[in-house]
Amino acid sequence: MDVIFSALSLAAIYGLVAIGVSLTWAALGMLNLAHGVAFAVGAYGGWLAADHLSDSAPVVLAGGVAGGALVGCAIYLLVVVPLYDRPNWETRHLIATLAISLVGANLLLELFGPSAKALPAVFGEGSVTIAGSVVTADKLGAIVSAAVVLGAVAVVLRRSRLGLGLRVLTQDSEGAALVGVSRNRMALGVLALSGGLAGLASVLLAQTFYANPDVGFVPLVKGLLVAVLGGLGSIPGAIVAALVMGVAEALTATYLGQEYVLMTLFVVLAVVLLVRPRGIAGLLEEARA
Amino acid sequence: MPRGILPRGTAFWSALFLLALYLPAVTDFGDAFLNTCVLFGVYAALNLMWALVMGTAGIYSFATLAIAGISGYGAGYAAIELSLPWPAMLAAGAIVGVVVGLLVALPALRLRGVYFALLTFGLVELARSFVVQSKPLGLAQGLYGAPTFAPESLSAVGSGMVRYYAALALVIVALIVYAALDRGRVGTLLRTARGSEPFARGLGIGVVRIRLVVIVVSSAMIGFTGACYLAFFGGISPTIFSFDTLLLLFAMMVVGGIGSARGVLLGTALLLFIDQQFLDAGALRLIAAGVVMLVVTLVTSDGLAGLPAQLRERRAATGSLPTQTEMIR
Repeated sequence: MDVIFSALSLAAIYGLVAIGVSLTWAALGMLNLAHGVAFAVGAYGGWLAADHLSDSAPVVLAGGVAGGALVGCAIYLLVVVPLYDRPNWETRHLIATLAISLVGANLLLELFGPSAKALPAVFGEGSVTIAGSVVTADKLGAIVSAAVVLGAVAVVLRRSRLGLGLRVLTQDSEGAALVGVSRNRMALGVLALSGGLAGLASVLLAQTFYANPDVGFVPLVKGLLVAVLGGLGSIPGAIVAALVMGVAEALTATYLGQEYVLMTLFVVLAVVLLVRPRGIAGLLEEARA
Repeated sequence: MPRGILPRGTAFWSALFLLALYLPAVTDFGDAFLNTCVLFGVYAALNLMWALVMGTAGIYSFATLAIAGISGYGAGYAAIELSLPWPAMLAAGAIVGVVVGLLVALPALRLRGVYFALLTFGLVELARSFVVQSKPLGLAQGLYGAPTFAPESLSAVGSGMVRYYAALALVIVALIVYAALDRGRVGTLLRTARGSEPFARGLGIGVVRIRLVVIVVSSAMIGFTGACYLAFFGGISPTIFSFDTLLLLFAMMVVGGIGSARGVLLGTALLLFIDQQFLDAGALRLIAAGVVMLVVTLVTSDGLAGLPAQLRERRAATGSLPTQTEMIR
């Protein structure tokens, strides 16, 4: 039972991070390697909000989302505006986002110092017993709120005009322009949304990962793994992949040890990709090649 | 110099070679500067091979340092256990490189773009976790006691010279391998396949075979360079598998320009200089490296070495005759 709950809470966080990676890929053909910065800045946003405004849950969560979304906007201004549609976009966006991730992490180090900042427990200190195993309120809150947010995002993207525009853009960017879908506005929206989701994930996870300048690295790597496993550009794929990776990580950490986690995740990815080169759902949908 | 008699770039490369040859005679070598030169040799050799795979062939491989590290560890371990001399260690490095290269090449034939890139990232992480937990390979401290180029009987100045010229030779060998593949028939075929794979297949190019060739040849050279690293420094540590090292080398290759040998050398020199110059500056050093990367990427389309061509194109575009549609208007 314990394993199931830790698998679920990991899956919730990875889902929030991976959907951002996947959406950005779908809209722009861009692998956002600066996504970890959004996670880290989100954590600091939550900490600043708790420190200066109030440590009530909505304020801290809003601080995290705002911090992440701000990074998303910065990436839009620094990478998408100057580089999109220019020669070598495929390599240049990778380098530009890597550079932002390098500068971002070290800027945080300069500004806030290397020591970790503790965020308030958003869901209180209590715990509940479910089916014989003790679950902290924090873990349960993270699972529930991530599931709600992920569900909401999935529904909005399926039902709304925004989601429709996004699907048009994924299939044919020139066609999208012809029917009046603004790629720039879409890109800004998608990057801000992805950043906000990463910021939310970092506040939800703050009881495990304290806010520190390097906090974004591990979520970035795992988010990338999950997004690729699910098939880039596919939201259902990302959610299924998040569950698979969450279970794999929880089992490995319990039975083999924490140091083997990343190795196991890569092995899972390698096996799946060798059987299905476009990930779990990449072949089912009209995803970007 | 009359144009057309000698291959293009002869003057540039000869001047560079003479400069490198006589550099020790005109400057006062400190230990730090010598180490920087040797590091330059190793990084430049690795980056040239990486540029061959990523630039010429267009395969998104991040396995360069994994291959170098695994070959270095493998050859070093064999050399220490069997007390081999350094030439045998270098040969062992090249052999391990070929084997690892073949393993990397298998998924490359099936996976595309980012999917393959992520898998090669995985190889780096796999190698790192293995080495850090393996007692015979020295855990987190690394493997030391490998045979080196300079015999111990040599004076400090003498062994410094041996290391300097060995590094120069390494860069030259890497340049020859680069030129042979990039300028040769294989390079042309690879560029065709990079542009359009169906077109290349239609022409009857064995796309799989030439990609296999470039991966295996570059991996042999990368493995050789990995073993050279041990012969220079006497040991190797898990930092070679760290994400920061990978990022630094990638930045070097890309800032200079992935499409040409002089770009790769220029980028390697520039970022190595920043890296070594601001070694004590901590976070500021990495911020500086990141800003250089970002600015160069935003301004140039093909790195610093591609800048002249880019400017020429821009001038041609602004000063050219009006196009047909403009004339109709």
